[in-house]
Amino acid sequence: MATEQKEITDLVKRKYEHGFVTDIEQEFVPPGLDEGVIRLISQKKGEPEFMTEWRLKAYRHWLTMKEPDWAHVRINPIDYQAISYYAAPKSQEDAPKSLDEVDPKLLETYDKLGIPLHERARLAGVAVDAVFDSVSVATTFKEKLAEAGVIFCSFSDAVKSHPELVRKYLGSVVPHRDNFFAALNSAVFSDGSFVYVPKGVRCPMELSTYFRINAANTGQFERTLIVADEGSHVSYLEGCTAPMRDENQLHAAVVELVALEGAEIKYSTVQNWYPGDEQGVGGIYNFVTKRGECRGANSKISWTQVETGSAITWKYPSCVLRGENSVGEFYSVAVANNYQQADTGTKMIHIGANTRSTIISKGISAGHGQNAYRGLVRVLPTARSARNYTQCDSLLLGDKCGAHTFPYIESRERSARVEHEATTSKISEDQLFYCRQRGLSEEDAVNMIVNGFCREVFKELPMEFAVEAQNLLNVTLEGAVG
Amino acid sequence: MNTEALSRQFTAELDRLSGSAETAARRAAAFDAFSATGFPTRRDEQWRYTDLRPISTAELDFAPASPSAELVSRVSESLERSGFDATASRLVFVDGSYCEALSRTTDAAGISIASLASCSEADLPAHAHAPLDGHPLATLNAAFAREGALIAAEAGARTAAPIELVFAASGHSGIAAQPRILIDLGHGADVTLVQHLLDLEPARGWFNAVTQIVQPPGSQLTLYRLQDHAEHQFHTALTRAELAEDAKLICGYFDLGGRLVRNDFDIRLKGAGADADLYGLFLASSGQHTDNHIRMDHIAPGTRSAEAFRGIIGDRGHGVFNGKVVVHRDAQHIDARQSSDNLLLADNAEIDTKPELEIYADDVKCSHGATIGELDDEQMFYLRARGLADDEARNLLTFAFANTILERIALPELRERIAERVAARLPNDETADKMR
Amino acid sequence: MLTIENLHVAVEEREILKGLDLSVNAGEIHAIMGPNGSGKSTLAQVLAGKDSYSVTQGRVLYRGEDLLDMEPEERARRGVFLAFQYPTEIPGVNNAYLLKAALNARREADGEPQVDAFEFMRLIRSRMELMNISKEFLNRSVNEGFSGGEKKRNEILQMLVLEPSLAVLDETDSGLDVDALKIVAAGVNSLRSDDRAMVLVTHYERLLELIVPDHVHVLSDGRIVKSGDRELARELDARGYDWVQQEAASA
Repeated sequence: MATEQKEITDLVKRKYEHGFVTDIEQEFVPPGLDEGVIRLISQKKGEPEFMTEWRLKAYRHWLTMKEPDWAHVRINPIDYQAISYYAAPKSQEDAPKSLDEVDPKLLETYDKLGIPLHERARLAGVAVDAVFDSVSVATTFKEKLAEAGVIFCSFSDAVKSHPELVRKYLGSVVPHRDNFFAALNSAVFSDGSFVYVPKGVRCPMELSTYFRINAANTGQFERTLIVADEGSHVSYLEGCTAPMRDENQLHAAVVELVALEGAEIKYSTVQNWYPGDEQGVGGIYNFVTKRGECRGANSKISWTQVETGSAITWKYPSCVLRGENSVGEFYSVAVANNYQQADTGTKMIHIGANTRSTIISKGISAGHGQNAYRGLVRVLPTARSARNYTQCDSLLLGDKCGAHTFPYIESRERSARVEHEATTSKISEDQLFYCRQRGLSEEDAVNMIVNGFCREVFKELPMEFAVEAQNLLNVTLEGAVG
Repeated sequence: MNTEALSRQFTAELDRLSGSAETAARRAAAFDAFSATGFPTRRDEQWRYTDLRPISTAELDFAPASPSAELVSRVSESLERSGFDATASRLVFVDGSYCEALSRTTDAAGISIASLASCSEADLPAHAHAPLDGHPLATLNAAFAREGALIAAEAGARTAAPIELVFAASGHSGIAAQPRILIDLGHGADVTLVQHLLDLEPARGWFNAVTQIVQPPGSQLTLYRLQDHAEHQFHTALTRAELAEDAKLICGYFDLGGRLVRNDFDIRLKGAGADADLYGLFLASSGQHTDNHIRMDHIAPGTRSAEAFRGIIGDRGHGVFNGKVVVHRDAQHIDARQSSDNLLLADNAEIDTKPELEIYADDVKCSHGATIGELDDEQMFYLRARGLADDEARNLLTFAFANTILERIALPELRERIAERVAARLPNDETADKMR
Repeated sequence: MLTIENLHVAVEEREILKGLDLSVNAGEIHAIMGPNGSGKSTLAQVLAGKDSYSVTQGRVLYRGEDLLDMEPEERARRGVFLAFQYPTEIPGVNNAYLLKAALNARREADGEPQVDAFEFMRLIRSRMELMNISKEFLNRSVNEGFSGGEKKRNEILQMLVLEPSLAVLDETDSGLDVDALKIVAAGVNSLRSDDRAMVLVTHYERLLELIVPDHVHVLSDGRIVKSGDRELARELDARGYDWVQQEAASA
């Protein structure tokens, strides 16, 4: 058996050793990773030389790195040679042919979330023509954005059409050697989004709907780069609010944000990848590196995330506050139900004078879920009069789950003021009784109290997203109480 | 001091240390366990903020000579000067050796106080040999420890006045004292113990202590410690306690001196109603480094813990607080609070604080808070508006910050004695210095 | 409306109500008075269904049905309302949202259509005026950061909106100044009707000058030891509780 396995592996290796360079038409690269595969990816995407070199540099560094083991999660070993790093565009042969073939449970969820009918098929990955009436919508958006001078395109397009911008900013916030998963992403990233907002421009719309129509199947190694030039403003919404059909187990995305002087970037995420079943089988490993740099004075980066999906979440959207008076914010709701594990939080690095940061984290644990907040607030001696306020609350639903808080607070500046508060508790009996005395069912009362617990974060989301996030929370926690 | 040199000393010591073959084997096992990893480095998460290289590279002598008569009389004078009550029961150790001449072990019925070396092996409580996994320095202590104190209280016994343990250092450099304190209480016993650490002269030695406590149901232990080392001393200590039903432990630790100070607490609440109340004040300036590192395990339901530590960090000082509360599965009805408040008084000072919660039960009330900042502007303004000079106002507010912790000392005389030392050693505010 | 027979209630094995009997008819207001620790609040909480109390003996009938058998929300939906002595704070939950959810739960149980936001506002406007509650108040989190008086006024506002059949008011007068007391009393009085019963649990007589009860009962050591009309309340105010307790002891 073992020899047979080895033979197959060898065969597979041999095949692409010979096959990849010439056979550009091939739509699928066999599992495994080496420099050849990386060259192939780059070539297939028609990338300029500097991108190929950048990927290779990242790959070579990745080889020297070890998987991190400090997070409070248990991970089954990942075989990086068993992953196929290029499979575009995804074959639609295996996909369900119509909604009738889709897991009814998934459809039920869509129903509860109020996802429009035409969206359901796309979310479930039904193999129909991917374009509904959305092409026209997308075109309208594109025209409007172009008018304002905003560049918003796929990362692949950006590499070709705006190589100077990509070259200037790619890896400038998350260097290729930053961490194990970021290095891997840098080597093999498939696609993602690129946004550039020129000086003084206020992006005329939330970059959301467009994304929702186009972002499906960007794959497991997504790369996003958003640059807000001086005095510009952009709000970016990522994610889908219903479980995506996705068979990739490992997701290692990288998001880089650059805010120049006076610019503001608001980045909102609702993450609801497949969390595995009730026994904890399957589910996505969501290992994401998200970081923004407030490079210029008076700039601002605000992260809002609602994390209800994935088997394991490992992400710390961070802000490097370099510019004077710059502001970093992190608002997070993270849920771990059934056997989900979440280790998430943020880093606020205060470098510039008068920099300010706010961290509001709400963790909800249910079932056998393990939910950890991990955060770093670091104040360097240059950060005169810096301020940080952190509020970090955990709510426990059930006696088999866990709620953990690991804050790291480091200050080297006397005039800085750092405040951190954290609480952990379950829903109080008094609150439940009060609501039930007013006629609410126990489930409704719990939902209401949990949503109230998260309100400070939900109010940071754009209106329609907030409503969906609330519904999503209720669906995620269904059956967790009582 | 490299491992080889340490190993040579250990081999030499092992021959000289008294004890049965079993004890020798235990020491050897402890030394092997330590050698396997050596001194922890900052790569170890538990030592992230504390660099032990000043200790691991120092030339140290683990077999100090017994104190001379001249030294003993100097210690005696120093104790008198410091206003120690001569009638209190106390054990005095000088450079790690027991000093009978200065000690007084008569006490109330049911309580026995003895130097460890004077006890026969059979007299030692079972927990004297409890494993110290995860605490490499304590493991090293287990290899070298030869002296210390055994405090035993029979069921229901109470100390009328606190028992004092005095550890004095002579000022000879390079002495590595490895004392061990064993506290063995009977059901419902109530004991108060005060530990004093002082140096006659500034010395660059290492004081590495282990305190092992076992508290049966209903017992109460109050442990005060005034660490008043001179500026060069290295001080590391592990306080390990296991509490049964309704046992109560109160620790008040005051760390004023030392170059490199690390206090580890490993508290296990194993019986319902067990209650641990830890508080502390530390001052760090002029290159001092002080780290309080706590692990609080709520193993049984219905247990309570509180941790309140305050740090005052002055010029080139580095303060660390790392508190971890772990609530084990099915340990319901837990109340755990943590607070770490810190004053940063100088530009090149640093504070790192990491209050952690790890919770596996749901019916809990756990909270922590941490603050870092300089003196409050509005309070300063208020005091100056009332006519106080800037530095006066600063000193007053700095002391007030410390006083919140000092006020918790239940014994008025001790409170005064410690408060006096705190006031004398408060780091001077940099700005105030410039103004003078 | 409400019949309580030989009610025994314990908390953690300590008996607090020791055989309480009470009968309340529609259209009546009953005041339950008594010294601290006599069991007044326990009675109120048990009627609402708080599960930390265990009923060891006796029964409670509400409109002929076993009240103790119902879940708290079922009691609420059938018209039992408790104005809490210490209304709980629920951070992040909008005051108006809770009230609307409560109203719709009640209406659903009664087979009435749900109210929408517009109708809801129309419905509560006059009641808010009566309780001297401003619109901003609705957007705050339930009871969070409310003063003592605001909490009590909010309880009565909820009662006015939910229009219960049986209202139990637990020390609604405590912590109120004279003006707030008048507002609360006006709210309660506006709800007096022939098909509604109220039980006022109170320590002081002053509330009963504003909300005149039909019956006054003295609760002492878990039992009703004396009943009368509003004159009894006045007498208690003048003479204290000792004489009633002594009378009960000697009897």
